[in-house]
Amino acid sequence: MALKKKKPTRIQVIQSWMSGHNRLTCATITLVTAAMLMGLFLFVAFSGFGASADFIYNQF
Amino acid sequence: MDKHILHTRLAALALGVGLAACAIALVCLLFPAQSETRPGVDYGYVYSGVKSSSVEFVEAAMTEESLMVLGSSELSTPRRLVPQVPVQVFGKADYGVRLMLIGEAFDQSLWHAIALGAYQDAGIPRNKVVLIVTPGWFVDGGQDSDTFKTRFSYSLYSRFNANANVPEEAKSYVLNRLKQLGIDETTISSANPSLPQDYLNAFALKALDDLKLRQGLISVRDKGIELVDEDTPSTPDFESLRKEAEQTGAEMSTTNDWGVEDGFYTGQLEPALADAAGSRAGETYTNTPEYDDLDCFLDIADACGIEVLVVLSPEMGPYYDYIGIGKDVRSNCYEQVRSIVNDHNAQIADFSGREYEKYFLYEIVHFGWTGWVDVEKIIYEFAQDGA
Repeated sequence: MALKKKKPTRIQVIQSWMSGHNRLTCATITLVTAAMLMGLFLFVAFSGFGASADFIYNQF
Repeated sequence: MDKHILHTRLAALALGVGLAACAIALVCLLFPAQSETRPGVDYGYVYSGVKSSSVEFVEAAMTEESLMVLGSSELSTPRRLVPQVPVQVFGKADYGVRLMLIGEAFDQSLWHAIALGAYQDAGIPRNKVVLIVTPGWFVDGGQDSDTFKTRFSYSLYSRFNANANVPEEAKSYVLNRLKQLGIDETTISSANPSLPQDYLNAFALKALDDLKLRQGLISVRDKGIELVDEDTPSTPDFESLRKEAEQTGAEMSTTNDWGVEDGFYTGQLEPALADAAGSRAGETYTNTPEYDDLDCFLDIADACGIEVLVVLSPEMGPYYDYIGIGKDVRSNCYEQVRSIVNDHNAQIADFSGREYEKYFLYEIVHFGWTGWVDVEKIIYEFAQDGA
């Protein structure tokens, strides 16, 4: 009886695809890094995340 | 992992960081922060909706000598037609009073109420403002939704809502009015955030509005005038200014008996006169929420401890008689405004009695040669009172 070949996991499939398409992978890494940093910049600049917590002190 | 692959991926990561840094630097370089102003430049007399909607810019441009003047289209009066406009009087010498003109055409009491709340959050010099009120704001039906939407500013509204000094009743009144005027739920909710999606929307709207204002302010920065700053401020000579104004009015209005500027009269008014006779006979100046909006503005000023001078502008009597908005209708409007102002801790400079005075207006609704001088005198006295 022939041994059944084990099905690769999703991560293995992705890793294998990335190894075979290194240029595309690198381009994706560049774009995703740039987009995440821009997103972080916009969030810090406009979300009021760094503003003073007046809304807490206003309760007292 | 293959060493070569690892190196290329690390290089890709570094390239991503570099790209983001370049993009951020480019945005900041091409569109400077709203608060950026040039030293030695006075932006107070620049007529601009973008300027009026940017609290950060106006805050940076004001000094302790500034006096905020909220108005609408009269602030656009060109100096080549009326050489007595504020920039020619207060902008050319140091009288210890620098006007900061806020508002543009179609800004009415509701817009001003929002702006007052937003600017008070940043601090208003002298704790005084002047509001120029025009009877044309009180037309039946009130301001239409499409016009209001063109002037609605998300930045001002979110800042207005964030101001703890603005009473909750006023915030709730403004919110209902915005709904009536068709401002969408997403915009309103994001300025009053309670759900996670409101915060996300607020983040996106703030970013977009900021970029829009940054872009608009680029041209505003070129329109400022040189700041005149003397060691000892002088006093304006309003008597001689008025004499000059009468003379200028007479020179610039030679084609008609109403005292209307020649270019406006022959180019726009005269050709339309035949069709205009009695055309507005049904107008009552009563069926409008504008009076309540004005009341709301004054409520906010009272709650925030802001002293207000309401300058009540007249309409040109002979013209409005001609088109069918009679003296009784106009008088009723003036009276209602006076009554609202008197119910609050506010002063009124009532120019409604000047409807038939030649040269007070340069066309049918906007202050003219003598009109601006008289308004400036009142504003100067208001600024100096208690200073």
